[in-house]
Amino acid sequence: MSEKQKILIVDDKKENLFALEKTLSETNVQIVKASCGNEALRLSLNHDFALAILDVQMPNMDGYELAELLRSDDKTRRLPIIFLTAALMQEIDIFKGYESGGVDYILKPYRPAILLSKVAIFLELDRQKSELLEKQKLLEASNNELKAFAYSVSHDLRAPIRHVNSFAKLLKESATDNLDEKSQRYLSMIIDAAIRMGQLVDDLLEFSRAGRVGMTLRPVDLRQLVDKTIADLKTDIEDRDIAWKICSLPKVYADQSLIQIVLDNLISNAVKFTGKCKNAQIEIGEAPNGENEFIIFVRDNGCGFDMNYIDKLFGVFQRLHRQEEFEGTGIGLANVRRIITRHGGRTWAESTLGKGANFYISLPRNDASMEDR
Amino acid sequence: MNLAKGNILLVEDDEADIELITDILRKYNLNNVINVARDGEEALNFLFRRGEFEQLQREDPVLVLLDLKMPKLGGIEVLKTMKSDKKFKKIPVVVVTSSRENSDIQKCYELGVNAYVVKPIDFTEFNEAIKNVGLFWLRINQTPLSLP
Repeated sequence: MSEKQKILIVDDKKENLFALEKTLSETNVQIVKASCGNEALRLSLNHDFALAILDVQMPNMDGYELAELLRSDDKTRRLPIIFLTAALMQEIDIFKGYESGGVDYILKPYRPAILLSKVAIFLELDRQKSELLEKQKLLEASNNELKAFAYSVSHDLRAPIRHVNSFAKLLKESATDNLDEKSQRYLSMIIDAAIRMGQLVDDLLEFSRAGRVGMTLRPVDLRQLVDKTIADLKTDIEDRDIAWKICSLPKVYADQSLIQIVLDNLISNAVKFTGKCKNAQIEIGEAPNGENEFIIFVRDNGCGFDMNYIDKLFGVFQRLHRQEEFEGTGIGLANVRRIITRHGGRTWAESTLGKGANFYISLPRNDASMEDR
Repeated sequence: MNLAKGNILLVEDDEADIELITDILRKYNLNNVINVARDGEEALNFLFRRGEFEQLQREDPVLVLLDLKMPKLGGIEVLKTMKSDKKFKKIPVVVVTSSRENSDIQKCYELGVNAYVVKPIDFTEFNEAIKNVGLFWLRINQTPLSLP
């Protein structure tokens, strides 16, 4: 931390303040002294204290009255307080502000070692709190930077890709007669590469969006979403012979459009990776599970994947197949993981190469563990 | 008003896009005069006949094709100013942009944009999109007979 922590000490007797200051001089803090409640309140306006040590017996405003006033102000509401008192048992109920923050007592005459150990605990708590606040600020800043980054990618990166594609296509049209076969092939490769680059950028943006859009949680019938996914795939699968088995699926508490993306990805993957199977089978259902979560699986008998690479499976732009074998950018499962994680669930998979794959997602049964957004 | 004769205001900072959009419109016989503003500030100066456009003899555009991210003043600002102006709010504004950010789309519709088109990466699709925008807004769509 950049600044020294500050402790406020309040006592009407000069000699007590002096003794306390001497005791505390062992800690690496700045001591701010006040000889009455009013002075303490005034000082608390200009300083951020990590701790206040208040003498209870003071004329005019005693330590408890001062503490009540400190608790009623936003700036000092959570300021930890150590009361120094001569008679603990009779007084313990006088102060009402226990619930709003750290409060401790030390009986006079006190032993410096005990005082110091209590002080050390409060200082440590304060230090951790400051560090957390600092980290939170950094996180917010980097989050905003990411948002700005995604925004400018969306605007700026697509344009040059589009122009490469557009002008290569126009060139191909206008110069076809003058170009030999090889040159024409080069142009086609430029055109295709730009399209693919565009797809990657769009997928990356989609991934970034899945992580930052607000979630609207409500009851969602998974069966309906599965039916919609399959209906949307209709043109892709009309010349395919797929045996679908859709078992009963639960209603979950989730963001409908995000969960639709999850099912779209899992099911279209199953369709894609059974593309070379004679008798493609895709099964979607609920797995037996623990008490706290629903487990949904999508099972296919397609080409599967090598379990050695399971760590890469849900990564961004990670692919376990060559582009010529199966098309794709490798963002789908990363999206799945991100969305399910935001819902407080888990994602995993198992497979035997050549014998199909099982993909699992879990969603919490209650909404308590979900991100509050 | 014969829309084919009205002029278009194309607000676009990217030279390549200006060329592509102009060429596509011409290819489909949309021969309207195309005025080009290279940023939002220039667009508003053109509309409100300020600065370099003060002495310019011309009619108000029948269609504004508006990019969003531009130097100085962006498309959102232009849209906001146009749609809160008694006269210019009657001119159809079609946002033609690279961004499919939902926040942009929401904002534009809140401000009263007449259409929002994302420029497709693939030229064939881009060609189709600009052609359709041109044919619809310059040939099919009706606007008020004269701007007050």
